[in-house]
This record gives sequence, C-alpha cells and structure tokens, in this order.
Amino acid sequence: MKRLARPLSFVFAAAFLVATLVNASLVGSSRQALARAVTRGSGVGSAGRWLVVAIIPEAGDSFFEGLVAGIAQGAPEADLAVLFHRYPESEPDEALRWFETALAARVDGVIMYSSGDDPVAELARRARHEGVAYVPVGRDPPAGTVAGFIGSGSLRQGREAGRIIGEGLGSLARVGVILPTGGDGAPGIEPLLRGLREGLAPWAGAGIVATARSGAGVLAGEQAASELVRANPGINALVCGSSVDTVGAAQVVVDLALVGRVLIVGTDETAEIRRYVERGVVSASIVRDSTWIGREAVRSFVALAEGKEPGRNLEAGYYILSAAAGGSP
Amino acid sequence: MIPRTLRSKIFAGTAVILVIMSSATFYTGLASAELARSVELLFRDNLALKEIRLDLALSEQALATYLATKSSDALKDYIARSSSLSARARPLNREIRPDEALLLQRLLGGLVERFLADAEAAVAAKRGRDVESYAARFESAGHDADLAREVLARVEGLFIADSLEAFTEFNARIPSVLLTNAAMVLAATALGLALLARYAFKLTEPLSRLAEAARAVGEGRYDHELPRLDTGDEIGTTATARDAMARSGRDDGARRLALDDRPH
Repeated sequence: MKRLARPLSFVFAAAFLVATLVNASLVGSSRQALARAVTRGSGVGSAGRWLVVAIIPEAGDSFFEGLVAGIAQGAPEADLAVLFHRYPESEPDEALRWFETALAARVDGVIMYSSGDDPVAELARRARHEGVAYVPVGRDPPAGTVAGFIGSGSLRQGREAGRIIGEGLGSLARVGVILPTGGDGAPGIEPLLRGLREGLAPWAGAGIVATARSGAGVLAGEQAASELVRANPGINALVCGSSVDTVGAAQVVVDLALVGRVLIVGTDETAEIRRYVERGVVSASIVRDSTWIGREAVRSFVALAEGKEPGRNLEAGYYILSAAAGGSP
Repeated sequence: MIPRTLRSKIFAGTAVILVIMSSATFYTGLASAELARSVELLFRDNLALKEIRLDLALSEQALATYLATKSSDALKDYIARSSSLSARARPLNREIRPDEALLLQRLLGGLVERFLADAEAAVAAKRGRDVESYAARFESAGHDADLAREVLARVEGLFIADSLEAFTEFNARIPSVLLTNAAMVLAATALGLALLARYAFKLTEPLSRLAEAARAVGEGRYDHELPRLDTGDEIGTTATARDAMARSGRDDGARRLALDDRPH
C-alpha cells in the first residue's frame, strides 16, 4: 500500500486533469452549439440589395416547387434576398394577407402566385402606390390582369394535349378533364379547355365529355378522376392539369384496371409520373418549365425595381415526357 | 516553505486534499452554471419577441383608451408603452440577408414602425379634433398590429424550431458531460485517498520505528539500532533524544560493570 500510494497519486491526478479538460471542452462545445443555432447575426450570407417576398402555394405540386426553385436560383445573381411565404392552396386569403404584410413592411418587391380569382389589377395598383414592385406569376393571366404576368400558358398546353389524344384515339376520343385547383375562371373560358378543344378540332367527333375541378390535398386528383370515370364510362382519355392530379388519375386507372383503355395526358414531371410513363399508364406528360418562370420573375422584379415599366406577358416553354420521347424540351 | 513541525505537516497534507476536492466541486458547480446559462440563451430570442408582443398589445390598448377618453393619463400611458415598443423593436435585424428569421425580423421591424407612425398620426389627429383622420389612422394602426402579430407568430415558431434543434444537439452532449463530471469527482476522490495514504505512511512510519526503539530501551536493550530519522520535526527530535538516552543507558551500564569489577 505504501509503495502503491505514490504511483496511484500520479495516476489519479492525471485522470482528474484529463476528465476536467474533457468536461470543459464538452461544456464549451455545448454552449457553442446553442449559440451557433440560436444567435443569428450579420454573419449570415452576404447582404443583399433588395428584399422580395415570394408568396407561393404549398401544394406538393411540382409546378410550385419549380417556381420556388427558379426564384431561389435567380435571387443571388440579382443581389436580392427572398422571403418565401408558402400557404395552403385552399386558403388564398392567407396569400392576400401576406401581400398586405409585405406592402405594410415596405419590402422592395412581391412575387406572387395568382390564379384567375385574384384581383391582380387591384393588387398591382396598391403595390405601385406603396412603391413596391409586384410580379404576378401563375398558370394563365387572370381576368383583367396587368402587363408583366409570367405564366405557363395553359392554352398551348391544352392544344398539345388535344394533339396527343387526337393522334392516339382519332375521332373516337372521349375526353375527361381534371382542371387544377384554384381555377382560372369558369370551365367555358378555361384556357386549358379552350386549347384542348382547338387541339382536338382536326379529329371530327372527338370531344370533351366531362370536366371536374380538383380540390386541395394530395388525394383530390384521385377523387376527381374516380368520379369522372365512374360517372362517364365512355371516357377513353383523361387530361390532368397538375402533377398531383396526374398521379391521382394514374392510380385510379390502375385500380379500375383501365390501363390501355383510358389514355392519360398529364402535367409536369415527378419521379412518380416518370414511373407511370415508363409503365405506359400515363401516355404523355406536358412538362411546364416553372423554374424558368421563377427565374424570369426575378429578372422582371429587377427591371421594375430599376424603374422600368412592366414588360409584356411571358409564357414558359414546355416539353413532352413520354415513353417514346423520354423528355424532349 | 517546507513544514517543519508534525502539526504543520498534517495541516499541509489535509489542505492539499481539501483543495483537490473543493476544486472538483467548484468546477462542477461552474460547469452546471454554464449549462444553465446556455439553456437560458435558447429562449432569449423568444423572450424578446414576447416582450414586443406584449408592448404592441399594451400600446394598442393605450392608444384606444386615449382616443376614447382624451385623458392626459391615457396619453402618458400610450407614450410610455409606445416608447417601450420602439426600444424593444430597435434591436430587430434590419439587414437584407438570405436568412428567413433575419428577413422576418426586418419585416416585423417595418410593421412596428408603421404601427407607431399610424398611432402617432392618430394621436396628432385627435389633438387637432380631426375625427375622420384619427378614426382612419386608428383603424390602420390596428391593421398594422394584426399583421405584425402574424409575422411575430411566424418568427416565434421559427425561433422555437431553431431552439429545439439546438437543444437536441446540446442534449446529445449532456450524458458525456455528466459522465466526465462523475469521472472527475471519482478521480479527485481517489487522488485524495491516495495522497491521504501517502501522508499517513509518511507520518506514522517513523513513529512506529521510534515506538519500537523506545520499547527496546524499556527492556534494557540499549544496543538496539535506530535508523536515522532526519524528519526535521518532533519525531526527529524525539529520535535524537532517544539515541542520547540509549547512549546514556549504555554508558551507565558500562560504568556499573566497571564498578562491579573493581576489587573490594
């Protein structure tokens, strides 16, 4: 014991020292972890020239995700910081409230998704009055819209869908249409429907037999497709206005064993849609370049912020995703 | 300074052990306080937002009271509340940086400023008896406050989410911190015990030898050899005395033998 006491003293002294140092280091790094995450300061990114609020629906739709990605891509080179506000598509009032907020807080600009029901002209007037640059984006220019709207052009999309169906089914085409939620006006003036009619026109006898408006939520497309097909057994083609509706319609066609008997022309591109196209459930999907819309919205904002007048309305390009084409821009 | 007395040696040994134990205890307390302060940091931003929310509501209420009563007390109350709101909103971020929380703070700052501007205008219009204007400005201020509350709710949610994320990371380290704390206390205790044993042996070993030597003298064995005890303390002094005693015993014995051997 006498002999052991001395070496043991050194061993325990070393252990005490090491444990203290490790403990101090752990306490320090714990504090740093908190400080890093909690305390924000001027070290975050580089300071931008403009602040823009982007008000875009959150609907699990690839169109909106592309829009957000495009804005985010364009922002750094335009020297602007973007504050995204995503809202449920079923609650457009929230979007209007955030428009008010952006105006009241005097931000530099607002990029806002607008459907046919939105009072775009009024919003543009109010934004101008507050000195805020306003860029409306969406599918189609709402009624009474101002110049400078950047959209995807549902009329062209409808024409393309009509051509694809006409080439596939000819004059036997009996088409059901699932219009996207939010709506761009009454079915009679819906650009997608008008384009589809124009696209089917060369095939006498081919026509639209029923339309349904999709609601909000991931299962809305499935529900709309199911109702359309059950209520109209003669339908042999479905045109869907969004990626969510395309996936829903494809699932209904598979569930009801209608693959090969009901041709689907969908919208946009997701991993699921690609799978359905490869399996032949979806004949083709018209992929709108919503990322381009986002980037173009940023460019449009910069022009407005620099004092230029709003330009002409712009439409994004598209490409067809099909088993044969694979995807041709 | 090297202790020279037994008492001071005992005191020094005990003091070293106590210092080790108390430094372990002190450090553990210090580390605990640091961790507690860290947790407080977690909710610092949320607490600041809570104050802004409260001041906004109180300013709005004071404004309504003043506009309804035009009393000087209500005006004083409004001025105090709105000044407090303005002061609390001042530290909010105003820079344009690519971070949601920072941008929301800028938005909130803008809304609070607008609320205060509308509220000031309402007060001025009330003083000027411009009924139409103060009613409109009061309504506008209420609208600004509603929008500010919505932004506040979003920033609060963001801060809570950030705090939770940070706390998760922090929390993951806590078991290691506690473990090293325990290891530290155990090591300190073991070190104390080892030192105690060392001191005990160092102090009692010469005493044992001395006791044995004293017993030998008691038994008349003056030739018992005591190793040198240069401890420099009372034990050393006692050992020297014992040696003198033994020598004296030996000399007395020799003298007695010499007397006995003398022819009578």
